[in-house]
Amino acid sequence: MELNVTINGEDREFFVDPGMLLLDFLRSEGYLGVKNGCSEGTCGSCTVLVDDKPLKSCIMFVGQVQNKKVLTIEGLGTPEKPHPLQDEFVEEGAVQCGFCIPGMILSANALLITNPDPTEEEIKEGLDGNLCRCTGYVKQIKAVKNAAKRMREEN
Amino acid sequence: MLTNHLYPNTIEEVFEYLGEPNSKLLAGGTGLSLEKNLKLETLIDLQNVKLSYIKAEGDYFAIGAMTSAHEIYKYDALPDSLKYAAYSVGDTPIMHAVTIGGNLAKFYNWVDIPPMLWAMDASIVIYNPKETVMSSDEFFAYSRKNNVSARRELIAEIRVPKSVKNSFSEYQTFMTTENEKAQLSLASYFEWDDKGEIGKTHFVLSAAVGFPIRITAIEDKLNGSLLNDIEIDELITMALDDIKLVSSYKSTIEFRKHILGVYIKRTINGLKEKMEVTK
Amino acid sequence: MTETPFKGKVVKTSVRKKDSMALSQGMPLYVADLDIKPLIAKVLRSPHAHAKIISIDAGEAEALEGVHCVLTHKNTPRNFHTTAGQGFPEPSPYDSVVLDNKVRFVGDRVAAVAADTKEIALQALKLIKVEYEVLDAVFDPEKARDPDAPQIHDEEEAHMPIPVFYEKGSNHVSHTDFAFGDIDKELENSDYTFERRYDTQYAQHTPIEPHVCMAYFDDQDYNIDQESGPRVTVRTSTQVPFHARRITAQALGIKEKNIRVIKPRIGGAFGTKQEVLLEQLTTLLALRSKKPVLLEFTRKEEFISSRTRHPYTVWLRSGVMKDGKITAIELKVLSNTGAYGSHGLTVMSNAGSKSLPLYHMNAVGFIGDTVYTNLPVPGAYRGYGATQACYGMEVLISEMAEKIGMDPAEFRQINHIQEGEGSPVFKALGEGTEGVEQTIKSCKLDDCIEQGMAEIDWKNKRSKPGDDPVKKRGLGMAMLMQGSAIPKIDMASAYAKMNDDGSFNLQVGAADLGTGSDTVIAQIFAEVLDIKADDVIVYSSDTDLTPFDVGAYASSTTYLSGYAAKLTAEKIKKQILQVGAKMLETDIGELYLEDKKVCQHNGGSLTFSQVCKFALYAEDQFQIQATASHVSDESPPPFAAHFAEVEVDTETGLVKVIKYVAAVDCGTPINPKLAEGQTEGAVMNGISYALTEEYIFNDKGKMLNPSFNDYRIFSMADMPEMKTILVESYEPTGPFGAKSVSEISINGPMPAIANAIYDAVGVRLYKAPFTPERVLNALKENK
Repeated sequence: MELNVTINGEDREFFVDPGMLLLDFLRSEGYLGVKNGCSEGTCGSCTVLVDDKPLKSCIMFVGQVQNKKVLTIEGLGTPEKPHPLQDEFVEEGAVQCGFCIPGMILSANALLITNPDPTEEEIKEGLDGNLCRCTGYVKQIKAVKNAAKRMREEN
Repeated sequence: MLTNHLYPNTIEEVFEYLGEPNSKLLAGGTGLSLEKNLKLETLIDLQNVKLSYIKAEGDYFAIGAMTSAHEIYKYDALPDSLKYAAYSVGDTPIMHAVTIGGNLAKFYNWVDIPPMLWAMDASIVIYNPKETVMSSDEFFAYSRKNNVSARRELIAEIRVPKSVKNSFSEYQTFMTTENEKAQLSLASYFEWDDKGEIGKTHFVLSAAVGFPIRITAIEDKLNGSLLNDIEIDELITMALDDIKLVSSYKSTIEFRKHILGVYIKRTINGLKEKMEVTK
Repeated sequence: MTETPFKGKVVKTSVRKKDSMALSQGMPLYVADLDIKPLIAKVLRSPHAHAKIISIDAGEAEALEGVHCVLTHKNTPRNFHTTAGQGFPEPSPYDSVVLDNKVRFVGDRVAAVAADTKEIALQALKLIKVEYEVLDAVFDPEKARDPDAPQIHDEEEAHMPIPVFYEKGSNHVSHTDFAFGDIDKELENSDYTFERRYDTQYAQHTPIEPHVCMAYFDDQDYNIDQESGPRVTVRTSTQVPFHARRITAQALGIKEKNIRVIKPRIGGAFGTKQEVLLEQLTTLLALRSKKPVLLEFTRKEEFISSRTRHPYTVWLRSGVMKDGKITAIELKVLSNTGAYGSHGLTVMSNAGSKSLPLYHMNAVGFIGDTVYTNLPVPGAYRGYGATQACYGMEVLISEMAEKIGMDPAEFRQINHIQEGEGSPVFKALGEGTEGVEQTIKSCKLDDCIEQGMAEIDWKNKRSKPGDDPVKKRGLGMAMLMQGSAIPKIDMASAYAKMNDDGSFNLQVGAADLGTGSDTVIAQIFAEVLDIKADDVIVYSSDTDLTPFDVGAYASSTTYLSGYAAKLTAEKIKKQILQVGAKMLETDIGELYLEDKKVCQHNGGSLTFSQVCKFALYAEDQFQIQATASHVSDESPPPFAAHFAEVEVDTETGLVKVIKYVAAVDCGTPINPKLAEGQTEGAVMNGISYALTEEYIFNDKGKMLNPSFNDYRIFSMADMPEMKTILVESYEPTGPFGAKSVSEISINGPMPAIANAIYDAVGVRLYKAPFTPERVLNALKENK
């Protein structure tokens, strides 16, 4: 089937197998920042934003993003010009093995789009779909707070 | 093998496409994508059928079937109990993916929103392709035998009655961690008159049973009574005699019966408080 | 004896973790991200807990289009080895082969397929016809040694590669015991005595990236003579690249030179990747099919067929005097190592060696046994057996304090080991054999306890359950120790060379699992040379290109690999000074290094770039380079005091951790934020282990909850308020005073929470995890 989708701001057209899951599709197209940790919709490392909402791409058919806007971690920043979230995750030491980080940063980004000044409880709730076994989450919460502050100041 | 992904724009188109062999309606997809159903050939994706909305209509809220749990959770005017049930569906990305219609069309034992809807006596608008409006009692009896998802029908809208002044509703769900599948959930709804006589009681139990169930024995006991005349322990005993819990490896039946007792007690206490406040 | 805390320029600063920006950009740095289209491998797994394979027919699977190779016990080498990625010879039984003619637990491997796609591979598995003769199974470790219990390893070849106890006939994998002093007599003379039993559960590491391995043929791999046979590159999520190479070669009967192991970035490990599990199959599939092959575990396989924590039953006997003196403690452990003996001996002995030295006592004893059962296979898991023993020990310590009416914090303060002291336990318990005597040179336990008490408000909040009739609050604590590397056994090495611009390449065998060890090692190296960590380009964990290191385990990387990097830097420093002295026509004694320059006391200076260029291009040219290896004579323990505040719902049994404080003495924290991160991650894992994580089996030995849906690890929504306090000490045997930090803090939550539950509601929990049902049952029994 034909798939029209905007990925990271770029309008793209693909011919896809409708039985494919969004996760497998994105990885096969080179968006390797989308990670596979469970294939059952629980760990969150495959999280992407679809029309600014965080969704788990391992439990979506590829056709569900027809005519939608998909954001993967590759679309968020560059090493030269990182997104404030990426920069703060790095600064706070919130990245250990890093496997959960793309999904977690995308969830944080979705949260900050709708809520630029979240409380600690709101951060915990917004990022509760991204399991991390390395960090204990403390530094990630701090990083999101710092990034939110920077983004508010920049605006 | 899955070869088609179709995007109807209207309910009429949905029913045209349902003529395709081995086709299924696709709402959020969280269940269907995990099923690995090898027979499935065609997905009929409901994303373009305009069914994602929450509207206040007279004495009820009309919730489109494609409305996500997250939208329900974040919609201020809806009753807190329903919002909490929506929140209990899962983590944030799951709340964004799960739709109220999908949740009703295919029951999983641990679902959160349907028992709350039943307790609040929501109406369900179904097309087959003719429009039918079912009460919760009708809908759940109808779905018990066969899920809507297996029937080539479309759930279009859920109508949640607005809370009247003398009413109380609550959703309690037992999990050891947030976002876990519930071991037992209890949804409840009450109305009373100005004298404090209870006019309407709904207790809906789920997760610890194969399919959500109303605990009618204690509903009957409460209806028409004054709360002060009610012995909570007696109520709990009646409830436990009335229902049969399914076994689960996560905890014993005995334990979950105990939790049900605690939840009934907490519900009644919550109800008492609310009745005091509204006096 | 205490030296003043180390003050450094790069050490003790939280420089950015080297790989963290690339990882937060989602760059393709993990095993499965390689730009190669590999065959996909899948493994057929046993549905039975114990069975003989009578016949296996892979004909139809092999004939299926798209299938390139099918492996069964009939066409794979039968070389007995251990999957435990330990030093050679390993203190674990050689009881595994690539694929066997017998299966020993539900999930054991039966056959493997490599095919063009995942779908074809899965279809091929279904076409393999296996006939089993189902055998009796034993699941209860207390019955495993019974005369009528089925023998799990009846194959003749299974043996222990080192001369220690191993009786496979009775499923008895290992035994160790020792006693100092007369325990029975001490107990007889005690004011109070205790006999307790504590049980811990099956639990898993759950790295977010499950085990994954890719074997392929690189350009390099053709660069060999014909006689040697083909060469394969194995890119794998391992903690132990060098052990993985050695054990894979051993299992397949090929030479190490035919295998190159690369550890790229890996998505968490925690011990489960100190295991050589996928490499044998993946390498063999690649060699046979002559194509690249990728084997990725599913989450379900990660639960059932990778490695877990060893469940323990712990029996403790102890005595105490009214004045707070501990007379004796005897720790007896029965460790369940499941169907294979990986780490069975050493995890068990660690139970004693990482808990008993913590306290003064007149007599001390340890009895440890490990047994086979027909259940999934435990292995190394952060804490390494100390975690399970600590639970019983630290609950008992609090119980003893309570009995004599002493504050449990004070009881610990007056009884804990001090700087300058040793313990007979250090010598008695080593890596399967005798250990190494040592004297504690750094211990700031008193400060850990005091600062932790202040942070949790111990004095005001303890034993005040509150007025709420249903929800009760309580505080609990635990005191902990671990080690830093395995003394006289573990070796790490480093190599470095200087570049034209004054930067350095630093090659280390050490394996960064996400802990940040590449960064920490660079900081240590940079500190010696007075340069920035950015001037050190670290390349690690590649058996072709980096020198040997045992790998990331036993809390060794900062302490041991960091020390090797320090020694390397010191050699480099000498060479730089020599070249500088020649260039400035002065003596080395007149020179020092500062800010990437060679400086003269009288004011002259040379940049490192000038020095390097002189050495490379000007006169008596040579490469400024050095290598160094390091073995430690001892294993200095980090210490910690942990405090938990909990709320117990007395109606539902639900326990919620409100606040958790971990005060840790890890010597000098080389990178404080990363050291805190190690502590926070370990604590969170420990809390989740204490409260919810548990394998549930049916009566056939099948795990019922192999999914994150039903085996929940804590998410952000579950976390308590957490506070980490790094209490600095100076460990003279470590690099710039550093000790380990990664493992210790996973040991605290289970006992600290158990003690807090007692403080809140007055019940002691003897079986973990503390699920609502167990708490409620304890409350009922207490009524």
